[in-house]
Amino acid sequence: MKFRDYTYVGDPINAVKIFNDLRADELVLVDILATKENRVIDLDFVRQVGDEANMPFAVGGGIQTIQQIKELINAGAEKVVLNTYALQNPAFVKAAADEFGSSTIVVAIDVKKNFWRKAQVYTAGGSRATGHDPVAWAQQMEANGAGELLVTSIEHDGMMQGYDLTLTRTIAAAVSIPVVAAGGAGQLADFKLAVEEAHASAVAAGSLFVYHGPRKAVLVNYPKNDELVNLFNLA
Amino acid sequence: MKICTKGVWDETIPGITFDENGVSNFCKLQETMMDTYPRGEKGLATWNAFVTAIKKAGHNQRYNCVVGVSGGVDSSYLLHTAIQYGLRPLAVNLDNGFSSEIAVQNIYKVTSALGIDLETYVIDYAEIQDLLRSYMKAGIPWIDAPTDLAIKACMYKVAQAEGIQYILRGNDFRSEGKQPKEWTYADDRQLRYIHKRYGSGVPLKTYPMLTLPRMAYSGLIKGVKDVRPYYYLDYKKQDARQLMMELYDWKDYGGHHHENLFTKFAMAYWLPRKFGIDKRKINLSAQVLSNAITRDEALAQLNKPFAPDHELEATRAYVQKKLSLTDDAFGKIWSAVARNTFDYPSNYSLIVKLASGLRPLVRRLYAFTPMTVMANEALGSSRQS
Repeated sequence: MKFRDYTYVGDPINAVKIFNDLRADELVLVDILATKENRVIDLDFVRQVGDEANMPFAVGGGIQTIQQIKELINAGAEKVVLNTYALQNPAFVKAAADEFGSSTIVVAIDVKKNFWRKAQVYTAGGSRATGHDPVAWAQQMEANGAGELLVTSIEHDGMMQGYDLTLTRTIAAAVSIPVVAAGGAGQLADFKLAVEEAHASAVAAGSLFVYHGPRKAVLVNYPKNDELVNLFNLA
Repeated sequence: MKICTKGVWDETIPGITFDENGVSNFCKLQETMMDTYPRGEKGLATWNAFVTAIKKAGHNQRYNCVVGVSGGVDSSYLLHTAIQYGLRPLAVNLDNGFSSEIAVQNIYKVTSALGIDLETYVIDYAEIQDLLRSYMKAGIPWIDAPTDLAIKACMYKVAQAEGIQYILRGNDFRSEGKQPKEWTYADDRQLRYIHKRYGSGVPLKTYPMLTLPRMAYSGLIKGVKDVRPYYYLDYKKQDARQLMMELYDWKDYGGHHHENLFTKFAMAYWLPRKFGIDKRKINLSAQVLSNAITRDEALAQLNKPFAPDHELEATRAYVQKKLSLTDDAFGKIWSAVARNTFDYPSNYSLIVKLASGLRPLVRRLYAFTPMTVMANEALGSSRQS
């Protein structure tokens, strides 16, 4: 929640298996402590996820070299998520995109407002301010070859009160690559707002698909296809 | 092979004896249970008395009972029943990292449709992994005991934390029967022993432990009581299944307790293939005695495999991977000597002594005489005679 106060919600592999059976479209698995602990998301874990997931999935956490990306893709990941290291070495995004193609490279942008209420990009699991303006940073990442941006509002994360629509809207308007809104979904209607009002290309959710009911019971769930079709009036 | 003339209990069951008519002592235990807990009008009256007591005990609380749910038919239908009788249940689910998508969906559908709050108790998976692995290494039959014990413990924990006095459980001896203690007995003392001896030292921090003193405290001081509604109500599994599908879009998962993949492995792979134990004999016998199926149907079912071979192999492979057991490690476990539950220290004899010596105390913990106690009396005495 808000990138703090982590809660253990169970075995990730079983969750992947259940999301697979529920036919989730895509999964994003980020090891949020990898950078802090100076390691990379575990390859064995990624392999196990690959065994259970028939849908595409992206992985991230501590990635710093082309070789690591190669190994993660060999282990079954479709895409990789770059965050902290992209900020330390923006040229790496370009090198990775040249090597694997833009569609493989997702750049995560975690945003929080600073003391002056100005939105800023944060790294290392939301612990370090970078001084970067989210929009300018998004544009730079697009120019470097990122294929997709995963934009998370740290303040909205885990609150289940809706996405930061202003943030999503301003970034989506400034770039032409897909922007995925993350952080804050509390009900299906939030998806609709992010897509229709903030022009996100896609939406991501965590708590909404994991918690159930007033006591926040851990119960993996996912909307049925017809619910989503109705939601977006696709019928 | 001698088979009980009234059910399908046979000589593979430890402690079984037969009288001159070929009727087994397990059959007599089952009949005693059925006489002790009659259904019909009498049963309904007992149940209604419970309903009144439950409502009175929790009259100004948000919840007046805890219902353990697994996504299976018994516990799902129990939620439906609780609402029918105007109770305010808090559903509690234990997450041991092995629940199937169908089970999780069933819980979601039923609690949402009935507007019942759900609490999940998540055990850190590293602990579960270490416990299940150590039970397998110990080579005892019922390797899913850590889950059973945790389910019971977490219900007591939640009940005590919320100040709820009644725990409702979906056990139904008329469709399950009483498993011989050699096959399924387990307690926290044995768990600690096996974990210490065979585990890899993962500390049990989130695993809920219900020790005897703690249970006595819950029961005697806090007044927490364990009630089994299906002992009294005319519960028919088949009808319940049908109704749940119609009302809540509940889904069947095939096989008793197959809602959890490790349980499925334990029941359909580990027990029959390593120990020659088929727990279905007990279940089916009980169903024959309660006229849910005929004896011929039970015999026919026993001749059928638990599930197709390829499905069981897939379950085995999944369990092996989830427990991080290499082929080599699993091979060693598989070829190790098969042991008996009572090769390891437990509280069994203490519990039996306490229970038969202190009947009134047991009455305050359970709203009924636990089957372990009844079985010890019924099976033990017939063995001496």
